[in-house]
Amino acid sequence: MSEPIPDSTAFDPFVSTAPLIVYIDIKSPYAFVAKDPTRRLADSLEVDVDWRPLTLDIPSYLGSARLDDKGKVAEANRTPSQWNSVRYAYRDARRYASLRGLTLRGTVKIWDTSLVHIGMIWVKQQGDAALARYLDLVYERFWKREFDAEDAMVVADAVAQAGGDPSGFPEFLDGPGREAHDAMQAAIFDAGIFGVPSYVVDGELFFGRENLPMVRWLLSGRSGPAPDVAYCGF
Amino acid sequence: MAEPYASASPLAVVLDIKDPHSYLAKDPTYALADDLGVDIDWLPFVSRPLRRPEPGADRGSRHRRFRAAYQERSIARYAGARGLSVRDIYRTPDSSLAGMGMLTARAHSEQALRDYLDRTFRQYWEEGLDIEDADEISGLLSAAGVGEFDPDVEYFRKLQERLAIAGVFDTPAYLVDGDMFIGRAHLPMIRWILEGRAGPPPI
Repeated sequence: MSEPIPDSTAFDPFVSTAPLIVYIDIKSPYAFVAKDPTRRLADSLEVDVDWRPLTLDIPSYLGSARLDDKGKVAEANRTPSQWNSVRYAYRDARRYASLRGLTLRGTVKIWDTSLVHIGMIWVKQQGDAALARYLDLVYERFWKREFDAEDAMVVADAVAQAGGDPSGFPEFLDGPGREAHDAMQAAIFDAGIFGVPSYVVDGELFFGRENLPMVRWLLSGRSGPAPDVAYCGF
Repeated sequence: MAEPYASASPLAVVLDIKDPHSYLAKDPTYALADDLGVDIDWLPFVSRPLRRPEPGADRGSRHRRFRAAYQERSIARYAGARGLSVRDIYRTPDSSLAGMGMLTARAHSEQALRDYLDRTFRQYWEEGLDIEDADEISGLLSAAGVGEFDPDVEYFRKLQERLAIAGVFDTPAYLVDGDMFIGRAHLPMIRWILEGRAGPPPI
């Protein structure tokens, strides 16, 4: 690794050398089903994407819950309306995922995904292809409940399997990677970017993959009437 | 356990006059129904109003403020793209009377219903219509060609219960083929379902 440590002091949540910034979190079912359409959109327009991790602090705004071994709620501090939203979100993401042949099993707790995201920062510096493999691998396994996102060894293994250079990764995870991740997350939140998937184009924020038609319109030069929101394939 | 809402129409659409997302969904939903030639079972629902974000320096409060500010921008952006304007998304009127007016118009004719929806949504969102005023609702119905506003409060209450049992908790909700979709962004999927799931799904 020649220069694995990102310069977090120069990080601007709304600025990138790529025309499109995409914020994702591995534990978001909506980010999971947004990944492939976003990639297809970028490929079709031949634009670079700056994929960035956004580690959601879900309990701070949506309450928390944990399931027992039988999938029943063992602990929760959610209101009925929060439960409605959460249950619908999973059902909604699952039906789109299943039409694409993806498995999306409900999670058993609210995960701390910072380790996976530090892995993302590490792999990202090794090229787009490695990052794409890493995201595909961790997303697929996580949503099959085959990936312990809080186990550093599991994350390191995913880095290696994605073709990322694993040498030095454990030190990065505990040191500069953690520092860079935490500084990025503070900057992202302070900038008002609050959820995933989020898209930044021309300095404008769009939350949710239903904005992909608008993202495409902006990246294509704003020709013709502006499209409405829509979940659709690209 | 949700119990699907039984409708004679292939598509039931649940709206709330005080919900800006319902306002923005109305015309694209008309367009879909007209294009496919399907009847819509239009239903009113009293949804939770959007909440004005509260002050507070804790992370949860800041998160809700960021989300609310974004939502306001997003609604204005998509409304503006269609030449619509949306005034003050944080008003919290009781939209029951407006919903009962919707049922009255629906019982008259599809044309009367659309006329009522067009007038009521536009006047509420662009001109500050008081939807808690029965005289205003009567006037809107008259303008839509519906003679008398005699709201059936008990029927409306039971309808709210049935929709809640069917899992409706927000608007616009689309009930199709035993499933529920919230938000107009699902219209491509609803079209695909109504067309018999022919071809690749819009995913």
